[in-house]
Amino acid sequence: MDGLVTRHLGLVFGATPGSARTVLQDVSAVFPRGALALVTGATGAGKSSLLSLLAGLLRPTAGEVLADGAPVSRWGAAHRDRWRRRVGIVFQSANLFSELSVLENVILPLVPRSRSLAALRAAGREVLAELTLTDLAGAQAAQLSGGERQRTALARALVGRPDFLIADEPTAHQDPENAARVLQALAACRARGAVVVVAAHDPRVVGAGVADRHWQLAAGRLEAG
Amino acid sequence: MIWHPLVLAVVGLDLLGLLALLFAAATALQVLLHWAPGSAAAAQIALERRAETAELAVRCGFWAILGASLVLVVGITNVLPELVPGAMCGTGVLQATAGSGARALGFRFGALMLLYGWRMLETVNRRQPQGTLTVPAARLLLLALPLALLAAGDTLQALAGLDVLQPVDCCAVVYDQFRPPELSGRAAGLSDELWLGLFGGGAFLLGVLAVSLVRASDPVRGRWPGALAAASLLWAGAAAVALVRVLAAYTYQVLHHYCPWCLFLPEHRFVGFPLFGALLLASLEGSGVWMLALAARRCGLPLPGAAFRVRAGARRVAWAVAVFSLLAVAPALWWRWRFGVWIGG
Repeated sequence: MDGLVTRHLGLVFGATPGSARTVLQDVSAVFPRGALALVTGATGAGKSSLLSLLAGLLRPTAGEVLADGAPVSRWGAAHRDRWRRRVGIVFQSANLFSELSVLENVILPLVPRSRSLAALRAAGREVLAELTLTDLAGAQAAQLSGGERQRTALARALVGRPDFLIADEPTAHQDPENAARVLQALAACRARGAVVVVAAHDPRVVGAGVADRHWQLAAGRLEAG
Repeated sequence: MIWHPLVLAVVGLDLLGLLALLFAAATALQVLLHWAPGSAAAAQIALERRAETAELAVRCGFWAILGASLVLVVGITNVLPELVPGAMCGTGVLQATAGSGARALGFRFGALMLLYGWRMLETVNRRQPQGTLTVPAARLLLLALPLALLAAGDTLQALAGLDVLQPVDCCAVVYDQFRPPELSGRAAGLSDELWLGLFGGGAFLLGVLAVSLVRASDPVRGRWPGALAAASLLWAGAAAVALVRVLAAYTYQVLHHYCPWCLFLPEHRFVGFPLFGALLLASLEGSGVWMLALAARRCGLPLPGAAFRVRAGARRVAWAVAVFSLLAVAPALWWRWRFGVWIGG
């Protein structure tokens, strides 16, 4: 099946029985192509962990993640890394390289794709324009505000036109106008046929009605919201 | 020890190859002990990363040992005879190494055969996202390592102990007239005609086996890969004997000169390199096909790349047999056409 599918997914942190902490258990869900799924839940419910599993950043301790039918969560590191080129990720804490400029941060995921530097810069500027960050293209990431950092992270996730977009709190620190732009960018990505999974606390995301599906995560279990 | 650049190149390449293999062998041992595909444990993920690095190291080691072997053969055949008094080709040089040179070549062949099989497994394994053949590839590497160590050790011993003061009697070893008359025309108890028949029949059999494997719907299963491996190794031996005992005479244009090494000399257009290179390729591909098929069968999972590689291996064996046969037989046919008789009547 196209899209992302989780089957009986489980995640336990800690190797020894005494220190083991169950973060996710028996999570089975379908995130189809051309749909935006919203995952909500209390702090510490496991949203970020679920997103990390979907993006191939973590390997589940039980169950599996299928991407377009392929069991990517069971793949070896090299193959998973190559698959991850098709995944755009927005981290909760943006994770920008503070010594690089905004444009340099944004074009980083394109570097392994062997395109000319001019082409990379053009692609970077295009996506920065969509998120009204053109004026900041040359600014150092360390100088950005929280909202600008998060939009830069979204631009970095979108620049490779990903098949799977995984976004953790993409509207964090945004004013209403920029929050709307972010949601618009997510909707555009969905319209391209990508799988879009967003974890959010922000009531503006929940209330905007952009989500095709709403999942609620509580005590490590995922339920339809 | 003589400090010839060629000797240093062989020792340097061997050292590089061994270091690469030793580095990879440490990871291979960990793979055999702790490999748990799909496990979320940090140790497994770290081991997967290390296995990737080890794979690069083994590839580097393989090419270094192959390069060292080629340089060594060039040295034995075309460089060192000038330094060893009385040596006219590799026979004299190997005489001057007091046995360790020939042993080194034997161990090299064994190490290269296993490493070639490893390369075939890894080529298929790289296409398997779950690293299905990582464990059998690690086993092969650990089997190849002792042979590589022995080969490097014997090479060093041979080069260090190369006697460049004591003359050797190169041709006395190979000229048939020094043998008792009842043994003339025989090698290992078999007549030269029989060796020639084994070479011809084996070439035909290998061709049939290769075509069968290429056409088989599932070339990994069944006995064809094992048969190809056994036939290619046996044929390579028989073809080498037939070449030295019968066919080389048409290149040398001398009736009784049973020397494999003179074929590598410039006066014979270095024909030994493609001839023995073809034999080496047939043996490596044939045995590699079997190792790959065996590993693929044992893993019990469908491996799409394995069938492709087995077919490619069978094709290469067929090409190697064809090239060897052409190069070995053409001078004899030319002689027969020109003079109307076979050499020796």
